[in-house]
Amino acid sequence: MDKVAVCVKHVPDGRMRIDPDSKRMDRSGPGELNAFDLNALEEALRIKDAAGATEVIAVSMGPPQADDSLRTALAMGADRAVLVSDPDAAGSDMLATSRVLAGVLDRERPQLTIFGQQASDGTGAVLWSAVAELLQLPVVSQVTELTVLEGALRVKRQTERGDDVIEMPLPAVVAVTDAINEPRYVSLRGQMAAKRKPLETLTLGELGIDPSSVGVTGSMTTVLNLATPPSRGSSIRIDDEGHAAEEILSFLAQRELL
Amino acid sequence: MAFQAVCRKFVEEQVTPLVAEAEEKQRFPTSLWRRMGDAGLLGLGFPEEVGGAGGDLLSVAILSEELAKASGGIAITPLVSSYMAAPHLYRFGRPDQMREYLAPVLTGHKVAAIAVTEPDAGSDVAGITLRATPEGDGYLLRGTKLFITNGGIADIIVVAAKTAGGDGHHSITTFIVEAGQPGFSVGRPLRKMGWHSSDTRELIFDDCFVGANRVLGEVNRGFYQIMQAFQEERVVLAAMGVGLAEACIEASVAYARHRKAFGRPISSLQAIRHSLAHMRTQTEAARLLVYQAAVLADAGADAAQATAMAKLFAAQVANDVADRSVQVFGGAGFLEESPVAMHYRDARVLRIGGGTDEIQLEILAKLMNL
Repeated sequence: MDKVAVCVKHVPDGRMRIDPDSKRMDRSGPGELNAFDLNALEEALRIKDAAGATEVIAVSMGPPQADDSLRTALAMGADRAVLVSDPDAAGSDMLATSRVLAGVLDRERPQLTIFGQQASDGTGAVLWSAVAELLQLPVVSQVTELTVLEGALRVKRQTERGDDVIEMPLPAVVAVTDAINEPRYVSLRGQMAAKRKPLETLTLGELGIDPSSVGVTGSMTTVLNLATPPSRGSSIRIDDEGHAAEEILSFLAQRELL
Repeated sequence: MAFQAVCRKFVEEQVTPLVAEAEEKQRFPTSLWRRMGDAGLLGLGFPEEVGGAGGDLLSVAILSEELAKASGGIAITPLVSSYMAAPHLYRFGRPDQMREYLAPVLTGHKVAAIAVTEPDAGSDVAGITLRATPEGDGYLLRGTKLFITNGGIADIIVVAAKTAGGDGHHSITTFIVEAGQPGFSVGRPLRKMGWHSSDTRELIFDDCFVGANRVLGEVNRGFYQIMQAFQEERVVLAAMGVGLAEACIEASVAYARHRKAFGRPISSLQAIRHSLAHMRTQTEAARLLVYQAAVLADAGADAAQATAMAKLFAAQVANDVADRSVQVFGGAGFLEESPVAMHYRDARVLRIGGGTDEIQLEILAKLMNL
């Protein structure tokens, strides 16, 4: 195949904050490439390394600073990157986001599109499904093994009862788990090379997407309220002054938990 | 992601989990060779044409610092192979020697060592006695080398030998020796105060034949070749001192915040907090000297003074900071299981290896025209 696309997300690094007014995630702080997407990229790069593809493209939608994560993808080995960044796209839910990503993929027409199973911020784990539906392509998730065949793909899908082995025609969409591979480290050479690789930033208009179909207006979900989880009630803290084990034992014994 | 962040992530994920076992077994975890090679961490500062990973001496210093935070013994092993032995192959090797010996070292497929020191010649490089006598189309090597890091695990050893009589400055030649060659053997692993996971040996050359095609560089120019390559070695060791000090500070700060004495965390006691602040300042000063030496060398400027200062100061700071960190830990710091005991033991060699404190002071004194 000539093209593999990997959809990646720039997620907040470390502690996540929610903006109480907009009820949206605060994406102004430092960010990083979503960990599951490293596995997706690694798999695409392995296909290319094995001469199963000629080009790996990283695709993302996000704020302008998401280009940091796309640079990481380029440093790992992706050949070029496309970022859709448009103020009108802010606040998109997964359905609205899927319209944007599908727009890019429709333009690029890759034979294979790989997603990481989920993002560490929203943990939605359905975006790949929505994108495949819009593009009318076959999709398999929870993929832990992937083999490229002639015009088709054989994948192993991890389920609660065991593994399904599935063959699907290309073009197709897959979502991989972190069990599929061990992502490579970014090399210094890769970092230097990334600076010279093309990173295209597109607006919704340039992609021909109607702004009302994305962002807050194009989203079908609304966050009604946000609250911190209820406290766990009264808890007892035992500092170890040499008798912690006995105290824990008597605590459990009193409640007949032993 | 900045290069330092990549090194840090690699060390946290791939090196730190292996330290306890490597120290216990006094063995370098061999799986790291290929992992480091794949991540491009063994070919920094070497151009891509010879199998290198690009970058410069500053990137080598940053890697050295991050590796030494985890363990000096693990750190020194690949650092010797790629950044102390391999530079001889790169600077003085012919294209065919680079293809055969340098390229596999820069990818972690082979391990290299540099053998200069002898029982009676360390800092006094010109005083080595291992002889290379012409024999047929090559030389016979006879003599011993001592304290050779990677001696027992190296595939390729760069060996300094006397090839003429008289003054050592004009009678030393370096050779490429392969492990397993007839006439070459290694002694038992030497037990050391620190760097437990690194391999240190005596090397024995008993009429070991080396073909003329394995002369590295020019005959009788070895002394100058060795002196040139020392600069990189010293920056690496100095950077290791900075990393060791940084690790001691991190461990000490965490401990001081948690440990209570007289009803409050010891980090609130002036004696401790001032010591920590002092450690922080000393380490930062050492780091800047190391970076300066690397940046000057990378710019092609004269880095002799900066390198000697960096090596001298960083090694001494590492020892002082390690000592202070054991003091912060108190009795717990005297236990092998504390995070600072290993660093305390590992710090000492930094004032000796790659040119002692005294040698650095001599270099500096000469540069002052004293």
